[in-house]
Amino acid sequence: MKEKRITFLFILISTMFLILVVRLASLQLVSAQKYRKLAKENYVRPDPVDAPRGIIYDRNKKVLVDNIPSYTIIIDSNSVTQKEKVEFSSLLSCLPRSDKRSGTETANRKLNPNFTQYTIRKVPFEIVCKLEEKKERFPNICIKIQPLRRYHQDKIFSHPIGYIGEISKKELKIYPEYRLGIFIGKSGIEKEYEKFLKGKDGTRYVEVDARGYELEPLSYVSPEPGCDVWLTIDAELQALVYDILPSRGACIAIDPKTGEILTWVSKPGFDPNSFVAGISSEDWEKISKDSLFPLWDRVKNATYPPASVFKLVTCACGIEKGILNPATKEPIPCKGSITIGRRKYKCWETHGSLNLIDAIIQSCDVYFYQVGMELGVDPICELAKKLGFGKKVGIDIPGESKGFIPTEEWYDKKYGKGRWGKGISANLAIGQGEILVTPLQILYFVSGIANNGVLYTPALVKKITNPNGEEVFSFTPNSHNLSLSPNTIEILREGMLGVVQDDKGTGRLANVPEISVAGKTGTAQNPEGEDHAWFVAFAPYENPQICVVVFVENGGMGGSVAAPIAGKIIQAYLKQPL
Amino acid sequence: MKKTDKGILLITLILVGIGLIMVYSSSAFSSLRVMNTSTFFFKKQLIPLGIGVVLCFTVSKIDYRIWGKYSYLILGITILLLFWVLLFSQSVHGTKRWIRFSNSSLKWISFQPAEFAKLGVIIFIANFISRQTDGPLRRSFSEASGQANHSASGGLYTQYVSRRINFVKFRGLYLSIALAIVFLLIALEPSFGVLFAICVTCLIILFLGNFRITWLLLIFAGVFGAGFLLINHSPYAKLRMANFFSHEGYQLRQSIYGIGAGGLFGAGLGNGKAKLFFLPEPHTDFIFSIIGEELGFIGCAIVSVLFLILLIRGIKIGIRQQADKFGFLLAVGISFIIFVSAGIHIGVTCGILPITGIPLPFISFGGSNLLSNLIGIGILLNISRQRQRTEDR
Repeated sequence: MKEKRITFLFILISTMFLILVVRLASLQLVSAQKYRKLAKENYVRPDPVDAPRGIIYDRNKKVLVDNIPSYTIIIDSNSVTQKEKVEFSSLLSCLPRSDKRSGTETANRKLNPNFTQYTIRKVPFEIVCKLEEKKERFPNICIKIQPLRRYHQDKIFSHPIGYIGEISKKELKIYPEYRLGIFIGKSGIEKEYEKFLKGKDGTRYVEVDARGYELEPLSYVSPEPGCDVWLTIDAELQALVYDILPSRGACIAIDPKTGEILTWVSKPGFDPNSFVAGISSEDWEKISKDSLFPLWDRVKNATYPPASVFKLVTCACGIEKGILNPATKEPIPCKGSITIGRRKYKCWETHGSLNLIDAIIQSCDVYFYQVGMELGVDPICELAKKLGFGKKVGIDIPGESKGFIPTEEWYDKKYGKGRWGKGISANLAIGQGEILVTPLQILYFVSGIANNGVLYTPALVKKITNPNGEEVFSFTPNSHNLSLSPNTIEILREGMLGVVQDDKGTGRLANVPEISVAGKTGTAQNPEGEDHAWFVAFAPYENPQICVVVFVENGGMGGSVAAPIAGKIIQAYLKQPL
Repeated sequence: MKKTDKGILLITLILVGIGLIMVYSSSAFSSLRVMNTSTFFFKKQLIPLGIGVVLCFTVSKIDYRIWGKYSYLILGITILLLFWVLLFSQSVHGTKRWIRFSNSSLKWISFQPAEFAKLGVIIFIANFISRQTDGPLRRSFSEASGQANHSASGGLYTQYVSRRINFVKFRGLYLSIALAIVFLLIALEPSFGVLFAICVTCLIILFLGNFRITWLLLIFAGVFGAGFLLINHSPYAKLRMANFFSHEGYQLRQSIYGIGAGGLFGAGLGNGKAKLFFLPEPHTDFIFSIIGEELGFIGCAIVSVLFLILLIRGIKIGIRQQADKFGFLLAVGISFIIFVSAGIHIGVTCGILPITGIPLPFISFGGSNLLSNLIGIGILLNISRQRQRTEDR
């Protein structure tokens, strides 16, 4: 009996022992690899190391944007005690508070509702010193050194270069390889060339314990810095333009022979440095609610009536359609106004009888009212579209406006068929009314005239080099033909030369000694306030090297406000030893 | 001449040695963090080890029959201590397992009565059953019970039935009440791991003590039912059961990761990662997981086989001592309490049993456990010596 029971017990024990051994074998021999991997994920924490973004240079190798090392404090607020918090916040009280929750924090919160990590970037050295001094009192606070974007020229380059900010969920879909919490280009060059500028973040693999304390570094994958971007902009010229342009306006200049943009100024600018560490809500409020709209790029986003500058288009249309030639004089001489229908359309001066060239030189409205009425809406607008208005120029930074070119059909819809008169086309001919263009479009068109019918797509980037100095992208001029006959272009050029050089020219103030400047003024009537001043110019006349558009919001007369600025820019650019 | 079973002594020493190394390896990191010295737990373990070795040696010199003589007293003291711990001790992590004394030299001495209750209960039950079967009354009972299953021999059968009722009514009742009190007190601490090991061991002792299978099944059902009720009443036990059946739970996952990551040869002594706070209690309730991670399958197999050999040798000692039923049951009981504890510990760490805190005998950090196991080995050694003494004659 007893032996039987002992035997039974032995069988039972053996079975159980076998189960244990089988279980151990299945864990340690069969699925060891799997568990090794799982365990590794447990105790190895990949710690991203930010790659420094590429440096941005101007055309003369001047550094416009680079990176500086800066201190970042990361606080795991879960493990921070109340006492630490109080002491810590008193240390940090001198820092501007960012109320916006960072992306990293949100992501971590999603993974673990109790996880809260606060990141404070751009911590001043003195505070880091104080923290390091009391390090044993703040065991849960991690201090890291990260590259921080530095914009050397503050506001001057804010629009072409743009700014960076923390990645949004939408952007994360575009760049799936990115992670939450990193900074990404939000506008301008920073956005368009993001893929080049970003580089590749490195990773520091650290062994951590279950509470996240770092024990020892395991391996290090060093970050690859981003590619450097070389702009076509001339920093000196840009600074000068920013300086002489009144408080609100836009100025853009290109080399008409290649399309390289020499300056791109929209005023007022903003300081991109305020975005580099995550913008505080107060600063954001200040920038976004500023009545002068500093974030608005007046070069490519803002659209305005082109005013008398558009007379060049009307004129071209007249010549192409055969109703205008340099000898033609207007049927009705300018007496300061003309009556169309029941309304009196004013000219800005009494010009008397003018031929075509003089009409351009003196910018006679009455002359072009009559041309406009004879041509009608559609021919002018169709040509305007052919010349690049009403669509994007194709500049290499995002967010361009198309502007607006109306059609007869559009007017029919707006006023009803046959319920709008010739006044509309008269008004359109002098660039007033519904037509809207961006300064960039005007520049593009005028550069074609300057360059005898060949126009180049404006571009901001000359080349991109990788960290080893090899070129990974090089700018090649992209040429088109202006759909105008050489004869038409010659007449327009002659007219524009007269605008600056003729005694009666509206743009005399743009004149530069020893340089033959050609241009066209514009004064856009603005029902809400002071007129907008336009001036578009190229120089030298014989062999244009610069083409410039100056636009001053609510500036007044184009000839008196915008023209002198253009003159100074041309002088500064052409007189500098090249 | 007196000859002790050197095999058991050797295995015990190997296990204790492995234990010291593993306690150091698994606790060095956390003790460095908390106590600023990596050897805190290691040194703390040396004291009970020293006392344990001395006690083991002393106990091996004492005739084991004396424990049977004082079994009621031992059980009484055990129950008193268990009451004490419930009434006067401070709870640690929601459990009341430790009795603490603070002496003048500013050091705390603490011990777990439940660990000593293991021995108390085994001695008591072994003595109780041996008295019943060894006495003239029980001898006829056991003969009768043997025959009753096979023959319908009238006279003997009626005799057997009447005596069985007698037993159930009086003796069995004492046993049940005494054990129920101990079990309840341990369950109230709560210390389910130890309770589970004691229950299994008691069942085995009853089984080998020639208890009727039907009774055993009844007792088994009773224990099972009580256990079920207990688990249902204790929210944390309930959660653990739920975690076990759903294969969830942080501790279990970390423990399995650790063992699994060890592979065949392990990461090497001291190279385990689970002890970096990933695994709670790496030096006590989950020390086998650290062994698995650092010493691999080979280390686990060696430790498991050592426990198996210990069990087999223990049972052999018992079988050779058949002349004395008490000696047999005591040897078997001690062997099994060690083996069952080890089995539960290993089962828990590799996820085939629900999580319950039970130390791995001789290896885990913890003075009471080490002491009571070493005392048990001492008794076992003495039984082996007694056997040889009788052979010498």
